[in-house]
Amino acid sequence: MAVSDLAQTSKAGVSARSGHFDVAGLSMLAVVAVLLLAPLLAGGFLLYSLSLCFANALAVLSVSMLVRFGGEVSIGHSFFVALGAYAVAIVEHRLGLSIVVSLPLATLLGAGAGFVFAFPSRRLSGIYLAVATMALALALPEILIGFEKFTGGFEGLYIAQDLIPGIPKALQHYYVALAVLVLVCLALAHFRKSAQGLALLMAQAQPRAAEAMGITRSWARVSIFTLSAALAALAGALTGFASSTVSPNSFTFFSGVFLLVGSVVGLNRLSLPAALVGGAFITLVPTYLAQAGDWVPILYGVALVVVTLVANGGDLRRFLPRRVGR
Amino acid sequence: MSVAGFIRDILPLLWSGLISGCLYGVGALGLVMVFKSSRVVNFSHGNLACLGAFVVYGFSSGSLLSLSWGSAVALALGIACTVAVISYVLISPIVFKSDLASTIATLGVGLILQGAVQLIFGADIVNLDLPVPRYSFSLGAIRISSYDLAVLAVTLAIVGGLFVIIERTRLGVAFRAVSTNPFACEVCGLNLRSVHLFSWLAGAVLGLVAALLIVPTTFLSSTTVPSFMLQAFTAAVVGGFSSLPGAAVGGILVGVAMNLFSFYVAPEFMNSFLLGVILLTLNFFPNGLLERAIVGRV
Amino acid sequence: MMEAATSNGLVAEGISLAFGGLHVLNDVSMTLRPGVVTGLIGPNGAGKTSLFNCLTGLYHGQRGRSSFAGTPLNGLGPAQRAACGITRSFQNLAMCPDLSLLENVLVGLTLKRRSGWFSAFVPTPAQRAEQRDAERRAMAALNELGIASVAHEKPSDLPPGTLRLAEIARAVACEPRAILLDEPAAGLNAVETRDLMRALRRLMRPDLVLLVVEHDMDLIMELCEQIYVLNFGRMIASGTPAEIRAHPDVIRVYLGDEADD
Repeated sequence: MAVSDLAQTSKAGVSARSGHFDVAGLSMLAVVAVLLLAPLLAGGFLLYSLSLCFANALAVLSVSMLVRFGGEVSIGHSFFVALGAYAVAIVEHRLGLSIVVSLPLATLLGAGAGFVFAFPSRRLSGIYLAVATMALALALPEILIGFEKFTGGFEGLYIAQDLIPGIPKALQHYYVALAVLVLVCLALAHFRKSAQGLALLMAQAQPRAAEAMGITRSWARVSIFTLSAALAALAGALTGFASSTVSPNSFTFFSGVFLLVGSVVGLNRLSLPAALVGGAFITLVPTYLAQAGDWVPILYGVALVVVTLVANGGDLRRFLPRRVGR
Repeated sequence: MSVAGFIRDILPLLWSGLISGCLYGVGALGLVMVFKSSRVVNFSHGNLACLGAFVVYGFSSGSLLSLSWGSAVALALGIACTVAVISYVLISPIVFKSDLASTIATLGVGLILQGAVQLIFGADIVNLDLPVPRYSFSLGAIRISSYDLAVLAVTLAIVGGLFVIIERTRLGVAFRAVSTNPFACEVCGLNLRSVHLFSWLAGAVLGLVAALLIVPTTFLSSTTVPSFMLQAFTAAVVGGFSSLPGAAVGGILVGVAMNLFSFYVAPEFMNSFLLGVILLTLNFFPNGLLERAIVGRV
Repeated sequence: MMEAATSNGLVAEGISLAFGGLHVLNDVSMTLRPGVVTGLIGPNGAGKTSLFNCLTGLYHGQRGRSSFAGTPLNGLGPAQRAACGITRSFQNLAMCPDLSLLENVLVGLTLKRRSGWFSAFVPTPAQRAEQRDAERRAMAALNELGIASVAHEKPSDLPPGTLRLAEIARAVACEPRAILLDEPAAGLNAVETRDLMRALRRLMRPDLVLLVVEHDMDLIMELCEQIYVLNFGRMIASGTPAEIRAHPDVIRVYLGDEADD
């Protein structure tokens, strides 16, 4: 009796979920199909912008991941993005190896750097952590310029090696970035259901209860930050690959804030559409506002304020974790 | 190196560190006041100060208007206070709901102000000096200039004034009460919003004063502001984000430390040094080096 | 024989806890024996929650010792006590609102999960199998508490009685050696309370330590075989329900003071 009850329940659950999956899944497939076919119609500049957009979408995902699973905000993730981008460039310049090698290397370096930052900061949360990440973003430009021998100083470095020889560079950049973006979205969806993902969500919603189940706050904070930094570095590697250059211009203090803007505009969601919206917002807006560049921070600022107000003012959504303790 | 030589080198460093530290402290005071009363870290603090400084420049140098320095400052104060009020009004719906969301909203405000400065004043790099007659004299190994004295005088006046307001006036008592236990204050019928407004306005004034005093030592541009922000933040962290005297002392410690680092190690890694200071302090002295009581840390 | 039984249980000896000048617990001792449903009762402000928090590692008394199955617990925090097999429930339901009931219970299995970080992102056959096994165990726990039918609902859609049972299912899923329940009947109506009692009785095993902290005298009397009574931070009585009912100090506390629920 009990067994058949169980079977009934899980079947009902699965079919309910798969009904839901159909709608979301179909639209997702449609989006991916459109993107796969876009190079047939799009001109060179749009293709280039989209490739950058995919890479930036990944960077936005890294910030969203930190918000969703860790409940924390970082305005310094540009540090890890730069780490990934420069890793690819330096590996190519010093070792002559292509992104095949430097992509996983960049990801590992990002994880390492994330851990080095997160471990001493494991008792920080909320605002204090945000301030610490701000310091990361501010220290970045001087590190990039100070270690000129490695980083090429103000001029930066070029990234020229092909991933797949023979195929036009523009197409390589486009499809590699798109493929990685789709794979990462799938991986994040899988992560949400994994033991570690559930543990992180619980640690964020009910830290005391999580502790009583063996999930410590330190573990949660260090883990999520390390993962998020690794993803940011991966995004950085693809950014460098897609734009074929790295230079300190791409990594000012505000780059970190812009990643947060992209994440907020995508409502901190981890789905492919949200990532695309966020990535597009921070890639295409400066491109199309190139003449009126000073309006970019204003637009971003307005977006940040408006979305934050709407998402928190309405009691319908819990968008960022509430800190009730004063 | 002889001991005398070492002292000859270090005394001026300590002195100039003290002077610049006063300014970081004043900037930090603005941050800490807003944080204490509303639990929000105001990331637009530096941008507002920058805007104010540029306004003073614009109104006094002739690019916008040609007023006296004093009138320009008064006008800039008015504008800064107005913007501070608008920022608070924008954020007020969520101040009581989520500290983190409010802080992100201040980031948005900061971005808007940054854009505004760039729009109005472009990528100008300008000099903005204090209208203080230049003279200097030596005291042993230290060279003391009129600028130094002006900074000290203003800092003492501001800190003294703030002390009087907070310790002696009703508004100050309200501020202290809200900083300790906002819920109890609400229960007693205290208007939290007016206290918040007070601290935000005070923050704007403090930020502008600090900016005006620090700009003569370098130059004013839309990009020097984030650095100043980092220095003020470091001072606030070192002093413990919830301690007003701590912010002032923290500023001086940071100023001196920065000078020593710049002279003895490497001036081009200043921000990285400050990053290290922030991480170390937050990790080992979460309540600031002065270890005052604080809520909100894990 | 008594020695052997107690060395398997959760033992607290001489716990004293003070916050500044406020003495919350004074030389409190209790022994939770496996296989015996133990209750802790006392009027408001008696120190039940503080004692409970000491047992679960949230507070550490200034004096006293505690141990579980011979392992000393002094200085161990909640996460480490969880690793020893001690689980607890929370008075204010500690469900994650973004997770379904089943997923909430799955979190209770965290310490037993064996999948690594790689398979958290990239599905492997081993991870899939492990996931299915964990879900089976979580479902079994929900079933044991009688709420398997709502396993895929979100907590916000469910009544508090069901959530209470889900909390207990979460505490039970990892097959712990000790379960400590903090006011499990709080906010439940009569029907839900009855379901709860039935579920708790079904849970009991000879090797399981079960502690129920409660306000509700009737529930404790009906459910527990061993009862401890706390008042003003001191243990004033312990024994079987019959002994407690007849205990003069307990009668004075509950009929002398106007203890309200």
